[in-house]
Amino acid sequence: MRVLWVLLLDSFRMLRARRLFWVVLVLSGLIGLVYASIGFNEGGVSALFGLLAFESELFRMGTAEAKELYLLLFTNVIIPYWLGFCAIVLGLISCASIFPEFIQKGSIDFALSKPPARVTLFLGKYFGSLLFVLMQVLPFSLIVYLSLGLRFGDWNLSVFWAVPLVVLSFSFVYAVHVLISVWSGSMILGLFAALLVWGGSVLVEWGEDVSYQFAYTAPQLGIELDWEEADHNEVEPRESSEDFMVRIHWVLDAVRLALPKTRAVGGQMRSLIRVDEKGGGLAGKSLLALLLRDPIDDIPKRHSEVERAADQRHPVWKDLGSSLLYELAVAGLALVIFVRRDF
Amino acid sequence: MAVCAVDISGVEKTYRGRVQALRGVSLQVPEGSIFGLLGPNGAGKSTLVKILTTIIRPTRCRGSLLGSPIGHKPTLRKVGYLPEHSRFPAYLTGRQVIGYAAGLGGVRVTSEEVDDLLDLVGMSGGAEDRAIKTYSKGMVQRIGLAQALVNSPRLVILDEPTDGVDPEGRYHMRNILQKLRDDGVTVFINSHLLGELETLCDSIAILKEGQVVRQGALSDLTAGSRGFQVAVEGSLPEEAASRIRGLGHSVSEREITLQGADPGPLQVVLDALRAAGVVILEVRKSHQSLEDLFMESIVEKQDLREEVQRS
Repeated sequence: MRVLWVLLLDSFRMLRARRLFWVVLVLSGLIGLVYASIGFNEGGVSALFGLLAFESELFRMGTAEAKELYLLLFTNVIIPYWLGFCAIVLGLISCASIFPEFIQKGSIDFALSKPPARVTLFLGKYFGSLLFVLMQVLPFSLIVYLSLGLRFGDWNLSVFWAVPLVVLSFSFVYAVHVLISVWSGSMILGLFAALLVWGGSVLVEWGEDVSYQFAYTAPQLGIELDWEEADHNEVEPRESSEDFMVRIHWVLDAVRLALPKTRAVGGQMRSLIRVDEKGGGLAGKSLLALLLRDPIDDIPKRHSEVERAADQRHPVWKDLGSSLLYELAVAGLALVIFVRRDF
Repeated sequence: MAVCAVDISGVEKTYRGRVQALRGVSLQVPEGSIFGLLGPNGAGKSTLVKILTTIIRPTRCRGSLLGSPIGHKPTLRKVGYLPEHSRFPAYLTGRQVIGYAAGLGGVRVTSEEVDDLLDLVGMSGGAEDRAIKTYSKGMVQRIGLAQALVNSPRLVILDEPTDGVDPEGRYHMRNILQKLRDDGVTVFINSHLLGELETLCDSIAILKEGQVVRQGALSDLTAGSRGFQVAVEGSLPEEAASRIRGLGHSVSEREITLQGADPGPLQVVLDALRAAGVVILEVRKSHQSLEDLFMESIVEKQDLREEVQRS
């Protein structure tokens, strides 16, 4: 246990010594500050502590929708784009050299000649790398928690779901980097492979999503697509489209199962971070849909049922479980290589 | 028989691609001594050291390190190691490297103990709190030695310890190693610097192409070639020279070389020189240098191999 602590402390020192860590932390702080500066008054929304003002009927001080909008900005904009994408890319770049440097001649000799087992050394370095993202997301979530609490009196602990989920997302991508860099010793190759697998898995997730909409959502809403005319016709709702699209979806769904699901984890974050029961009923809606559809009551009930079914087609346990299994397999393989290798 | 800190036999290592780095190495390192491992590049020295410190797994290995089987991780608590071309985390200070090594070694050290170590290796006075990346090669080696001693080891393994260290630092390091030996610590040095090892080591082994070609106490290995050298003024008269040659000694224009540690024949030679009126400038004991022994071992091995190939 003490050894693990020593390795984590070393990782913290390493992070502290990296300029990129501080750059990302400052950027995170600035984005957090901008987020905290958003407020609501009698007329609508204000930003930058009142410097900018936008009139709105729906989002005003004291309305549940204002509170949800505030939360949606966090779950649908900041988490997927800043913490879910930018922070992961920056984290990858920042942590890219950890394993390649660790296994370099002279450096690995020092570590391996000490009593701790190779497994302990590997896990210490691996979890130490995850500190980078943890230390970015944690203060950010704290800013959101305090902002929500101070602005709306809603001390919403569910915002802290962002911490483990963003760290998990990062670890899914980072595992590939570790495997390739332990195998090849090359930082660049590891980084390239991680970005490739990440991009590929996001593409598969997106493809599965789109194919599901064609195969199931559109038919269930009674929409038939006319590919030749690039138009759509309204028809009698049915369970699914023709076999071809269902088969494509089946294949993509199977491939998706085997890959890390960073996009889906972001989606789960939106469902886990909620306002209290007295909310405005916007949960599960995209921010764009929320801003375009006014008033919300106009959304037909069937539409929302079909959308909910689409949202719930991948249970949390399945997405997280299969992604964790993937990480376990990839990081496990890296560990086996590390343990068996002659350095 | 002396207790051995390292006692191994039949150590073999074949890397992928069938490169045979070690071919049945057997080695005994007496406890409380300074041991030198020598050999030309590619002889397998680093492979052997890495096997002892569990960095590389042997293909075959019998024997023990401080009484435990080779590869037994907990035994490394009693071992200090300074790797060749050591690369400590660049973001750590010298002081932190020592603390980090202690943490990995499972020992707790006070800041006073770290100060003592820094003093010992001559790294106190401000530099110890600077990041390693600002250090010279010699300073890194000094910190490397300090971290190798942080767990008060019974065996210290040093791979090219004086690499990049200035002459004063080398002298200082030699004193530290001798002091360690006096305290009962076994010091295992892997080095190319024969002159340095000659002044330091109690015993040595010479490795060539993955095999031990010479091993033993340095004094024993060089004993066979002990003798005397007599220097004279001017040229040696032909009559005296032929008489001395007749006694079986080699004679050059101004020097006579006698083989063997027995001083008896020397007296005969000295009498002959005096009788011939030759002025004797110097009489000194001679023995084979480590460099000579090393070269002889390497060439012998080469010859043996060529002979095998021919037959």
